[in-house]
Amino acid sequence: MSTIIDLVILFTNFFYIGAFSFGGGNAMIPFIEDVVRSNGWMTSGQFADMIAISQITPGPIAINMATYVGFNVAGPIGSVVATLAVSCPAFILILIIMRFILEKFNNSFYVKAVFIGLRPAVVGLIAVAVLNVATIALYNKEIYNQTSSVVQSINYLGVFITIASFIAMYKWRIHPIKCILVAGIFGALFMN
Amino acid sequence: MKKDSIYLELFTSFFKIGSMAIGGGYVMLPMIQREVVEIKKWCSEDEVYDFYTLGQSLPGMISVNTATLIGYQMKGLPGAIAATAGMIMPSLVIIMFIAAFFTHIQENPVIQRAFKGIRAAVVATIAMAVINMAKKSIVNMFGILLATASFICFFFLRISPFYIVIGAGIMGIIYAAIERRREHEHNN
Repeated sequence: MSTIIDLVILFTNFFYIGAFSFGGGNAMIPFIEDVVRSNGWMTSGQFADMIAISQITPGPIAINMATYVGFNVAGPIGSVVATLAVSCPAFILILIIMRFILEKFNNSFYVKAVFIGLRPAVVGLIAVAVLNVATIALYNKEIYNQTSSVVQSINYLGVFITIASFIAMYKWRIHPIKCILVAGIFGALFMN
Repeated sequence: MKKDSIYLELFTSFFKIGSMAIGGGYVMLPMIQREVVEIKKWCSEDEVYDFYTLGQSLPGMISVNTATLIGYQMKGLPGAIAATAGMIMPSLVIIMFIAAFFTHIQENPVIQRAFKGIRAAVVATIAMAVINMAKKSIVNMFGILLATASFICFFFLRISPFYIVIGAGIMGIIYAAIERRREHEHNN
């Protein structure tokens, strides 16, 4: 019985997170932390582990986190419930938008006009993601705190990997998946 | 037999992307583009960028949203389900496995080093996605201004993307209305 209640709480909470978080997986972290804490589902150590695991495993981070929290609460069924719940709102919204707006008014003035505004704005939003990931990947804050030297805080091997991957993908048209795998092997061998 | 195979193809294509994309949803953008535009030829480059635009403007995850949109475009509701399921399935399987047996995998030093290398490549992957998208999505001065404004609002002012997206939509309508009036006057 308590499992069923847990599953209902899991579903409603993750449905809410899926419906109201704009800006992808990282934007969801504070919401998920709140849910996990208020229900007493994880210790803060477990929560930190979960974020680390969600980031180093393949797939969208938000889906990874939902699956992980769900598993902790109610095993495999919990995983499925939380993952479905977090994906549901956007899925339903997309069906509605495609069926009732874009298919009928694809050439309408307003749909075209809204896209004229959205296209460049979304480029700006994703550019922020580049900067965020670059700061984490290529810059060591702890070293900066110790030495206050920007030059020493830059991860030069990381910068090399970034530039090499960029050239490989952009110029030589190497598939991004291959690039990521090679970077992983390179990192395991030479990073410290 | 032939009728069912498109659903299977949608599922496997997104399963492949979902199972290889380490480093979050944005890493998938160039992968989706490669797979869907160049290899499968399911939609045009312009269409994919509009799906990214819409996928980022809606709540949820851009990668899952894009999969749903492409699936729907291909084969309606069943297509959307097949593509979305393919995108989600790898996470579900991998994370359940880790949560059950390897809750300390992130402490393994080899994995930590490998992940550092991957994260550096992820920077390049997302940068490429932004550059490719900018080339198609930013076509005039208005676009440059709007992209810059959206960057500043999100990065420096920490405004929620929800408001940025709504603001950008309104700006688009104002811009298009002004353009239309100008054209109108020009024709008269």
